[in-house]
Amino acid sequence: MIFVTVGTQLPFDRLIRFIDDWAFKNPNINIFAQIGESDFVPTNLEYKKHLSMNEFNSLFESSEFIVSHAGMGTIISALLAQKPIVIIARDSDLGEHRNQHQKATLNRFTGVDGCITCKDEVELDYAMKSRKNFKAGAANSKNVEFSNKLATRLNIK
Amino acid sequence: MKKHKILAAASSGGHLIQLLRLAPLFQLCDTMIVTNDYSDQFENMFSANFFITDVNQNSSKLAILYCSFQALIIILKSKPDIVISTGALPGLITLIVAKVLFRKKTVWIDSIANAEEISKSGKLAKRFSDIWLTQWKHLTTEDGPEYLGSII
Repeated sequence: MIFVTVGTQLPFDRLIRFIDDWAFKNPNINIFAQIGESDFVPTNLEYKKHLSMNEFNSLFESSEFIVSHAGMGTIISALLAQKPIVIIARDSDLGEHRNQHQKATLNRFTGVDGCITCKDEVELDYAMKSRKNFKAGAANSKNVEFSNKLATRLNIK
Repeated sequence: MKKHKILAAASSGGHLIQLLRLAPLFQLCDTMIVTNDYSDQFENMFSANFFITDVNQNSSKLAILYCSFQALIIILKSKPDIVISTGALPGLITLIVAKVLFRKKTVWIDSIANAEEISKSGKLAKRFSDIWLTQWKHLTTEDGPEYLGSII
């Protein structure tokens, strides 16, 4: 299963429309999309506007890979769950966000293991074609060291 | 009985995911959570969970006031020694209420998303935080924030 998510706050019709087209062309592949406030209503895949954290986690876990807007929450989740993630940024010139910070996020994760970053729908299409070659990143335990340092600062033993 | 009581605050999504990564710290304490979401993992990690409305900088003054009132009630109920937040605005509000009204120890950890500059909430958090942290070394200055590494 491929899990698509665009976050909760804003529509991302461009991505949902692309995925709906792609689902039409690839009818044998199971896709679930969390479409948020998108106006475009997909007809070729299962979707829900919003997901609880439990629903999100279970779809995340059972997916082969994730397709997402450049939202930190999803990217971090993917890195932590060691799931490959295909990322496309919202473009404020197209009214998809208030500013271009998702493009900055996209650039930051370009070249990071497990992240497949796409500048536009052409690159996204190419990424979807090469999905058999996706590789997940490595496990990360920086939080343990961080927690220990913070515990020391707070005099917690 | 565990010595310290922590109240951990974050909005759903990236902020909450980062906060939950502090589990190794939370395990050493009696830790409670305040957020606008719920997950089954909370049961194992926290001794109590509290709901707070999600607000942001575009929310009405009334909504922000209501959120502040919720934070006040939550702190009265949970009686923490330490409040830790990774953001966003509801976390900041909880932290400010804890510091200004109750003189609690407060920790702000700015989200890893803010790699170019500290978030708006993070900048506001500075004067209300005992420990004010960024997850990016290049954002540290002599006046803070400090860097203890990243959670991710």
